[in-house]
Amino acid sequence: MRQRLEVKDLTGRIISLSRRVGVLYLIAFLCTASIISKRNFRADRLDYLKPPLVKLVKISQGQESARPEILEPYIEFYEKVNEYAGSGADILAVLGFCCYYYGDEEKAISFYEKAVVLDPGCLWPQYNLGVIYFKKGFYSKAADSLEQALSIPPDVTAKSLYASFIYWQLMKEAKVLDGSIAVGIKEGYEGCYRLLMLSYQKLQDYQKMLNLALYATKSVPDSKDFFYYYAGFAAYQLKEYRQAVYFLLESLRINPRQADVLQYLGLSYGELGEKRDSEDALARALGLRRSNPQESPAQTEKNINVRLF
Amino acid sequence: MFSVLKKESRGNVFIKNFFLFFPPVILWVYLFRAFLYDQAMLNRDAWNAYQYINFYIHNIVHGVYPMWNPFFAWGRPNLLHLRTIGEFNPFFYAIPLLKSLGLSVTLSYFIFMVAYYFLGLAGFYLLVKRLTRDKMAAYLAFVLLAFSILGRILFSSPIVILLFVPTVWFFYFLFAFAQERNKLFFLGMTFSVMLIAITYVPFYFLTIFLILTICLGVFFFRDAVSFLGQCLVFFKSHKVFAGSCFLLAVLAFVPGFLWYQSTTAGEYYASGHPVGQPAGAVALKAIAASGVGGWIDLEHLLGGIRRKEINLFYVPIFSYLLLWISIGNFLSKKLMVIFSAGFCVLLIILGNLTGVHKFLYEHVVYFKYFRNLHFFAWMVLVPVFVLFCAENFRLFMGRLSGAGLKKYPLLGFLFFMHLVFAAILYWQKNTVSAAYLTVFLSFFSFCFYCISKRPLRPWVWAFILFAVTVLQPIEIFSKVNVDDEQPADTSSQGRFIFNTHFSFSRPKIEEESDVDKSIAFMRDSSGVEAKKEGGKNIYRGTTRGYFLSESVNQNVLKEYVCHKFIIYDRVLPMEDADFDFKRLEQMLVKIENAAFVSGGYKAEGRGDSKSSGELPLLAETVSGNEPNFKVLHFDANSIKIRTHFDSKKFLVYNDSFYEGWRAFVNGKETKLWRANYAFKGLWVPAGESVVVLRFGMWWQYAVNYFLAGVFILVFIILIWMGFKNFFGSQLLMKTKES
Repeated sequence: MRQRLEVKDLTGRIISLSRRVGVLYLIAFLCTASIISKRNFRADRLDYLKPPLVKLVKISQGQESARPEILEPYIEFYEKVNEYAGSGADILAVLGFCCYYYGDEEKAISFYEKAVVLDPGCLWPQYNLGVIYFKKGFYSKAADSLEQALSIPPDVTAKSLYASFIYWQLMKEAKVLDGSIAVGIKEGYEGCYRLLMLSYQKLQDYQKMLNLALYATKSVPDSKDFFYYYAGFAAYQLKEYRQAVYFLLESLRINPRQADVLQYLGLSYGELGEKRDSEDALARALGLRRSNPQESPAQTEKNINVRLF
Repeated sequence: MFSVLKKESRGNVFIKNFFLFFPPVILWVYLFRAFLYDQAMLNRDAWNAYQYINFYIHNIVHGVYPMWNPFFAWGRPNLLHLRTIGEFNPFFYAIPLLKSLGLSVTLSYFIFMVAYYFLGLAGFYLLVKRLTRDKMAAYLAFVLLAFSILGRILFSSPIVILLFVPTVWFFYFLFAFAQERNKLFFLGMTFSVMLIAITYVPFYFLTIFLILTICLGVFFFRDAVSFLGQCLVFFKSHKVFAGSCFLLAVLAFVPGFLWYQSTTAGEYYASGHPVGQPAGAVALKAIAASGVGGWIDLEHLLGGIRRKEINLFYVPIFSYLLLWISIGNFLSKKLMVIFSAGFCVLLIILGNLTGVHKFLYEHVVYFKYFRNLHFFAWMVLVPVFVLFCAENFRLFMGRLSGAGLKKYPLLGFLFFMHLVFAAILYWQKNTVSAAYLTVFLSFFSFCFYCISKRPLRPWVWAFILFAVTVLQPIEIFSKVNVDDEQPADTSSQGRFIFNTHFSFSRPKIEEESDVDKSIAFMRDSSGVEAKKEGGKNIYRGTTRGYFLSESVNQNVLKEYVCHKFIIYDRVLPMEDADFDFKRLEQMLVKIENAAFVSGGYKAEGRGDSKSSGELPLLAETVSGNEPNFKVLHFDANSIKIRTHFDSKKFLVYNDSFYEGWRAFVNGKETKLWRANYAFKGLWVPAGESVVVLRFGMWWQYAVNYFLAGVFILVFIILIWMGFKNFFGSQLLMKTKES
């Protein structure tokens, strides 16, 4: 009898509980969750979160200043893409780009490191990783990344970019799908040479610097003056003054208005005992510096930045 | 709650209600004050509504029912836009009334919209009061809804408000009629249906009505059957009245039907709608894109704001708190109906996330004729959600009042629930500080209510509820509305312009931003690129105008359509099947002296006996009234010109060619040709002639003027019956008292 009463009491309580509003919420939630198409839900979420890509492209092209409030939606969007689509090198690379300009360099490095593991055949993650390391003063790591980047053939990079839907959307926004993407890749490789050169300079590895500079004078014909200067600079540091004079003169032949080049030319002449030439070159260097203090191969460092493509 | 008021006179009730509703109204106006000094940001839809309403009002005040709009997209039929706003709505006449008091067009429009919004809120208050039979719950619902997303919708999609207000009043009158069979309520229902029927999308209402009917049928089957029986009795005893109401409701569907018929020819094209089909038909993909699945985000829902963007479903956080503390409420049939109706609508507006909308699209005909599923969220989901909160609040207050000795465990429960809610808020990223304050104040308010020895005075409790409810909206709207204010330099001067006067040339407007482009498009602009917005085509106009803008160089077209009138000496026939747009483009560049004519034009035509070699190479453009060309009259639907040509000329009026236009020369009807692919052209004889171009048949105008009159008449009768009812019941009360 008592047991029966207890069972009745329990049943009554259960019925009472089941008639509460909370149970209705629970049932509605379960019903909705069971009939919702998760794939469509994710697509809708991404559509909703997707900010206009134009600003990101402009930041990459240096046409718009990168402010955290601009980058926040992009980080949120690409993090969601990463969550839904699974980690892809392209998504991670774009996330690395966004985080870098957002000011979170550690996160950017982490994303780029993952990206280069997943897709070792794309220049940009390696290049950007090198840029960030360099800017942080990790020259050895920067040199490693940039060497890796230079080992990737340009056509492999192009294939990697075109194969990615994420990049395709960005390239479409940047209006580079017509083939002008190759111009960007070319600039990227040139940037790699320049930054690698500067990394070797910071590491005081002048022999590697000399070898790279001489190689680059053939690979990047548009910037011969720059690489001849660094070849001359490396030769000067290696105390190969005659060689240094030759390279520096080659650089001046292409672009005579380089104060740094004239300075090292003067110093090299001085070491060789050619006092008159030395004084003349140093005086010209001084004059150039006064008239145009900005123009110098050493300014390269400031012009190189993290890019999308 | 307010039972004490029952013994008071209506006058006292009115005064008390005034003081009750004054704070929320004033606070709302303060939060959205930008509209008062012409700084409110209007997005594209709001722009459209503004233009459509004012264009209609301006014309109707001048005695013209605008069936055509010569200023939009080189001239286009105006019926779609009249259907968008529901032009016969007599409340629109408040705008010219306000204008006559010396207010600007913009301010008159905004005051009207805000007043109309509050009219809807008043209807909602009365509806909730009818359903819950609790004034406090109704008051809370009023405040919750006033400070929800609907307030913002006013400045982004006012069309939703234009649909929401009659919908709310319909349901108020319906439930009032269910409770007492009164002619006033029946006429109110009829008038609400009429207002909804004249819009081009009565389908939102129809969907809500059907869902609610099913839900009521399921949960209140016996009551529903009984109600239907009583309705039959009412109809039998008021045959003439009920028949007239039915006839009026049917009559209100006529403009929509006529518009639908006029679009079946495929001469009208609206982006997002398949070419060649009635303009109303929408592709499933386009509708699915308007689903709200992407907005489902707990953080954004509770936070209300994210990156200065307000949530699509925004309701004050106090409503979520109410639902949270009410999870222990017992389910009632009423709650089940409200919840089921809301849940059904939610399943529809989730678009392609559930198969519900797809099923309805495939099996219910009218689902093919409307998109913007998110309108449901604003029109239905938010009000139904608020109603659900209000009913839960009523039930919860019942538990609090009847707690007796169990009040201390209840206080513990309240503390626990508020604490958990605060923790959930803390866990979210975008919670505004006022949300925590709301939780804190809510806890103390309920505790205070629970432990106070004497029952709280209703006005004190109402004020507490008001304060708790509006804390978070104040912070949210302060942030959002301030950011949305239009910069001063772009306001006032150029923002609120709609064309009314004729000009011989269309201005070339080069605009930068997407919004400006849209505005330029709505003005009498030659800029065809203005039809593009953010890479998407937002064209709404004649189909041939659309194809022309897609096929001919836009700069060439822009230069060409600058001229409203061009006088040609000869014409060249060219039919659509083999239309050479390249050749047309070449002719338009210099405006060579030959117009292309389509539509069965037989042979090459020439105005006089001169050979082609003797004719001028270029056509003559008209830049203003001249001795041989004068515009005598112009309005939206017609133009009258006096010409004095030395020889027979082919006059091209660069206003879109469209079925329904007729031409008269010296009083005799003349064939109107389609010239230069998309425009109007006709032969005008030598000597003095009076040319009249007119859109539409006389009976179409007669029907529309008649309907405008009918709407005003029904509105006046409704107001009169309302007053009669109000004062009649007061008299009855006094008689009973004496």
